[in-house]
Amino acid sequence: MNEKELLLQYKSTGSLDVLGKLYAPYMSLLYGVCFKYFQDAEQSQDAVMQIFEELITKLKTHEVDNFKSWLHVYTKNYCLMQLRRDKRRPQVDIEENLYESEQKLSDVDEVKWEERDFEKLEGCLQSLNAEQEQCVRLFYLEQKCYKDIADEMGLDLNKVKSAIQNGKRNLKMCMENKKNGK
Amino acid sequence: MENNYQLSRIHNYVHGLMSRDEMHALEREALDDPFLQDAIDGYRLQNGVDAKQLSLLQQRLATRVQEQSTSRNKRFYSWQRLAVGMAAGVMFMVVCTLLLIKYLPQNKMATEFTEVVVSESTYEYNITPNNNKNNVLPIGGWEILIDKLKSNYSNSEDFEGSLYITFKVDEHHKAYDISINGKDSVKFEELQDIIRNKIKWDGSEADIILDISKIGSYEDI
Repeated sequence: MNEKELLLQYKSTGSLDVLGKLYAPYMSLLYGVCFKYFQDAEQSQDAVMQIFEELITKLKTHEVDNFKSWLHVYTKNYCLMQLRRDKRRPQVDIEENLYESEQKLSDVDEVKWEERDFEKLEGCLQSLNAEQEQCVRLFYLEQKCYKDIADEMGLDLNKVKSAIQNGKRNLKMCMENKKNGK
Repeated sequence: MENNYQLSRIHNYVHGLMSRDEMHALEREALDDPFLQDAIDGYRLQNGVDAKQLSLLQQRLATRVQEQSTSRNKRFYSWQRLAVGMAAGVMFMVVCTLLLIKYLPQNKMATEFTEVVVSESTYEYNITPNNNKNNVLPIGGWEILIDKLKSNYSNSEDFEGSLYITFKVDEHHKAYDISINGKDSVKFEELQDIIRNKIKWDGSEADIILDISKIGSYEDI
């Protein structure tokens, strides 16, 4: 039974057994996400259980199309709310969140790229800042991992990650602008 | 199972146990999957995957899922109890109403019935003195006895027919040694009381026949 069927079944029966089947596969990923925000094992475990409790009612009323990404966003929101409630100011990387929200948007309309579009790619690559351009080239074109790129460029691993994320985003925007502007 | 595979990949990735190609593949996947990226970030902060922790978490979920059936039963029972309680309440009220409906008119009927008895006797009385033996007469005439019977005698035995009554009268005009024959094992105490206490007699020995007959049923009155 796939996720969609499980969701429908849960909606009609309200059986926790069904919800458990739907939820269990994501628990370890969810734990990781929660740990990213709380940096505390116990709090993260409780959060995973608490989110399950909230889903019991939420999934009865909400129309969920893509359970995985919905769950991810829900979990992030839960963690941020929790941190705000604890009066500990959450340190959220705005760049990263921007990247993720755009990620969702771009999932919706798959753009078809043609051969000549790739000529524009070079121009767009050069429009990125040096760090992003270098990282994107190394990652996408030379297929190197973050660690190698970090070593090669003498950068922090997280810096490499966000340079690639942001570079990818800027590149996409640049390409789409050129495509639409022709 | 896909989940375990991802988890071991994350584990290997965080601990640097992957080849460069594998690392690149996972990083690329994570770029398209922010969920995965967040999880990797989290596990990196935790310095790896703690499988024991995660299996405990799975256990907690299993326990929680099992709880539902019990809590569901509990809720069901309380709901059921509520329904039974409400049904009992409704039944109680219905019974009360029925009793009330039944009792109230009856009460009315009872008072009417009493009035009927007081104002008009249900029975007709006829007295025949046995002239050979009887030498008594109520002071005021036989009508006095009939009046007393009509107003005081309820005939609780519901007797109809002839009663053979004998008694003696003392010097105070009071009847004694009363015997009433008519129905086996019935003493006619009420009647005796009327003869003894409500009437004063002239004479010494009584031998009379009292005929009692019903005039009609209550409903007819």
